[in-house]
Amino acid sequence: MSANLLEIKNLHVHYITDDGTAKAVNGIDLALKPGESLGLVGETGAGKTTSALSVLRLVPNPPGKIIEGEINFNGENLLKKREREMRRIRGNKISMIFQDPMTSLNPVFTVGRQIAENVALHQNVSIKKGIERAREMLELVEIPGGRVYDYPHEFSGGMRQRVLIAMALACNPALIIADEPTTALDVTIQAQVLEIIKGLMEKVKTSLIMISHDLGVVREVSERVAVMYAGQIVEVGSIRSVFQNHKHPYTIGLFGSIPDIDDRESTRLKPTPGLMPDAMELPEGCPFHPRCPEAMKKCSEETPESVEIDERHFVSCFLYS
Amino acid sequence: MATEATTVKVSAKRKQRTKLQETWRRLRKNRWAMGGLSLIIFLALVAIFANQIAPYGYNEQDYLRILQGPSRENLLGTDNLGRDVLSRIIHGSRLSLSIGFITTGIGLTVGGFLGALAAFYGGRVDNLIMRFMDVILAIPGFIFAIALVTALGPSLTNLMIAVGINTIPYFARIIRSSVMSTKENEFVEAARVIGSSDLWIIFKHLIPNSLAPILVQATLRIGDTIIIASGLSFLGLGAQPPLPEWGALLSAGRGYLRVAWWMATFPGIAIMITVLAFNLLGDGLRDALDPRLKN
Amino acid sequence: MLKYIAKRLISMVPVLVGVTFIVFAIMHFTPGDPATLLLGEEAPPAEVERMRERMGLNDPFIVQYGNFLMGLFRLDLGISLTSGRPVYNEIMNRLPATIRLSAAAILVAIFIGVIAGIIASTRQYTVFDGGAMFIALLGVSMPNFWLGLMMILLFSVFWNNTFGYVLFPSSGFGTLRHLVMPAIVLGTAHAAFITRITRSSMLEVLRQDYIRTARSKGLNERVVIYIHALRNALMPVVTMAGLRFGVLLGGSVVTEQIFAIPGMGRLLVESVRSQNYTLVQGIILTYAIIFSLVNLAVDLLYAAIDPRIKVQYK
Repeated sequence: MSANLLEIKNLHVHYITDDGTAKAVNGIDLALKPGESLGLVGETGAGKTTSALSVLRLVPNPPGKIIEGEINFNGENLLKKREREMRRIRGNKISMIFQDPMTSLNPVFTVGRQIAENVALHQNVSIKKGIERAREMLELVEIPGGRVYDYPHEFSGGMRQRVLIAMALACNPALIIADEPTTALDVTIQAQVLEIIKGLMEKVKTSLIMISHDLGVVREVSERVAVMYAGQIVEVGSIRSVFQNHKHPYTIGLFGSIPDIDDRESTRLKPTPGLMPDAMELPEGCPFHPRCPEAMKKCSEETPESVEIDERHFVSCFLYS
Repeated sequence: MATEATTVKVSAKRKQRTKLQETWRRLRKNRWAMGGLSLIIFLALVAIFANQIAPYGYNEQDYLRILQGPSRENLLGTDNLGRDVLSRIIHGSRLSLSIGFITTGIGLTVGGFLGALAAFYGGRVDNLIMRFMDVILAIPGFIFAIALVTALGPSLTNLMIAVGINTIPYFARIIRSSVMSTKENEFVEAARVIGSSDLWIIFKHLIPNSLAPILVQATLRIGDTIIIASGLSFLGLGAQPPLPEWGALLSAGRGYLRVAWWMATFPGIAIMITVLAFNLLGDGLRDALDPRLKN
Repeated sequence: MLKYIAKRLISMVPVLVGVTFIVFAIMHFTPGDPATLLLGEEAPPAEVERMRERMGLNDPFIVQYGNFLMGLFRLDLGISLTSGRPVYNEIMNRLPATIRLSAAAILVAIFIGVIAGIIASTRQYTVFDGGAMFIALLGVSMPNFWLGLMMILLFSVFWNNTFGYVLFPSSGFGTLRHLVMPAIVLGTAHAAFITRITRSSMLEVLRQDYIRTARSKGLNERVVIYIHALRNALMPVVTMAGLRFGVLLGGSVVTEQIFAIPGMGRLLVESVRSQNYTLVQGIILTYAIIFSLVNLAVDLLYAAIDPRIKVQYK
């Protein structure tokens, strides 16, 4: 039945430590069609990265543990797979681009080798053949192919991020998860890297999950957007639908906090007052209710179900149920 | 002006006290470190009350009971002169612990002074002192101690001086670097502004604020110096007979290895337990002072 | 690279000159007259005085030191006060045994230490980790001369009593079997130390982002640990092991003594006992040179491991 490339169903991830249990992800549902691009937005600590790492089953364990849920990739539940099978998927069918390019490359190996390693592993070719592929991939991200023999410290931050993008794409994966790939970069470099990602997405027909806390970035590269808060997805829909018609009070707050350059009066940020709750002590009911301007009595008692308010546009809020 | 300096000083003190309390809190949760601390306290008590605890005197010879294995009368056997090994080890704990504390004390005071001087004045003074320390460190410690003992003549006092000199560079380095980093703090600037003398600043502000790394280094050093000192005694270059220094006991036991295994075995265990105790505490302190390092 | 080696070798010179000064000064102000020692207590005073003059012992300290330093360039370290032979030859006779012993010990230590450290760090909080760390702690707390005696007791004395032959001989030098116990005795503390450093360094590296990147590529855990992590983790291990090599050299003196190995350490102890200052002086200087050379080697090794360091060498 599944035309979806990726389906996350009721995923729960906890970090269990001596000081208590942090409930990082609390029952998220997501679906992604082949070639589709989804933006995942939310504040720091909303559980975006944990959700992404869960897909690759790379949540650091201990202390992280996937408590329940399903992650179906091409109709197969990744959470049921053996470690050996997972390794054949990582970097091959699903690859990931991490946040900080300065620390995500191994300093003691040439970039060519690090890309080639990926190719050699999954396509059963020699490292030497892999280096050839690395050369092509570097050119694809606009780095001269001759630089395969250079070490990471010989590249700038923006270039290193492009190396990581090249590495992620080297095996033509069906899905790429980019975890805030531009956050650690200078503003001008951010635009450049984003441009490259956008260009490549059009070229290679890969699905993309773009994690960001920046709605602007998501609008650049995604067709759909999901808004995360305290380990839950509070609103998800097409970019168009969500941008024009956001319904969840948290999303409304988020849009309120984007400065609108056209309107001089409203350049002041209007974030929702308060802080996101500590994942160790989540409130009962809807996790947003302590900060919610529209909170009702019911909100602190029950967790709202997700409701379809427009075509493939869902909101989890009692205001709409 | 004066009030400002006082408040600055008070706040620096308070910060330090709460940091020490915090360290103690974390240390208490570390079972290994507390084990080490209890062992050290136990050993210290044994050393203090050695005369009361030990069943025999350290040089009490009994020619009718020579080289006897462990028995009810002599729990750890007797040596070649019929002396009780357990009693000698108990009396020896005084020597070994004193050696550990005194040598480390020498290193700490002299090294600390030199290190603070180097960091405080910088430039040529720094260069001179630290290059001199480099030279000492270029000679393997144990071998340098042998050279010093050769010059001074083998005796317990000279042994402590030699091993003490050996530890100077370590303290000089650690105190230099930690003074360097606290020197830039505002309260030092404030003290200078109100006209405090250099020595006052060094002793009143810089050294107390470098306490944490010094404490760790000193604890770990005590264990090291006990091993070095007993090694020198083992070679006959330290405590001389009939003193029951543990290394000297081992050295004596070596000659009777084939007929009286207990003579060499038990003093070595005593050394190991003592050094282990200081290492446990030192490791624990390091983790407690800098939880980031703890994995 | 060659240029860097040359630069490093030259930078060793002032420190080593400092070492010669300290050692010479210590020996100079040591009580006892070398001329009397060389000729014997019964020698007539006139003859002793003539010898003092010939040995330059009546010159001022600084002149004597200058002569000693000049002699060094000709590899002339003076003559042994007991045998009358050149100190240089005496040392060269004993050096190979010390080097063989130290090299064997360091190899044992690195091999055991790195593997134990990796096992402990990858199985953090398990029995393996706790066990390895406790054994390592015992290892650094144990005096090696005691370990030596215990091994002799076990493998020479008890083994002989029980099985009627000696598993490892307790004294002598030459065959591999002779080397086993001394190498273990000398290497144990170092192995324990390396285990501790390797573990903490590996734990630090395993937390790094590039390890997550490596895992996200689908590499298996062995490749991640032994190729991606280990090479980064080795840098502090190599540095600390090099700095600590001095402790190992010090330990070799005692080890040679216990196992009757004809190395420099035994010569040192003999010379100290017979107040043979010229020989003591020469031996200490040789130890300092070995230590410095080992640290130079460590620096070069460091560059081989980390490409970021190489840049500074050009």
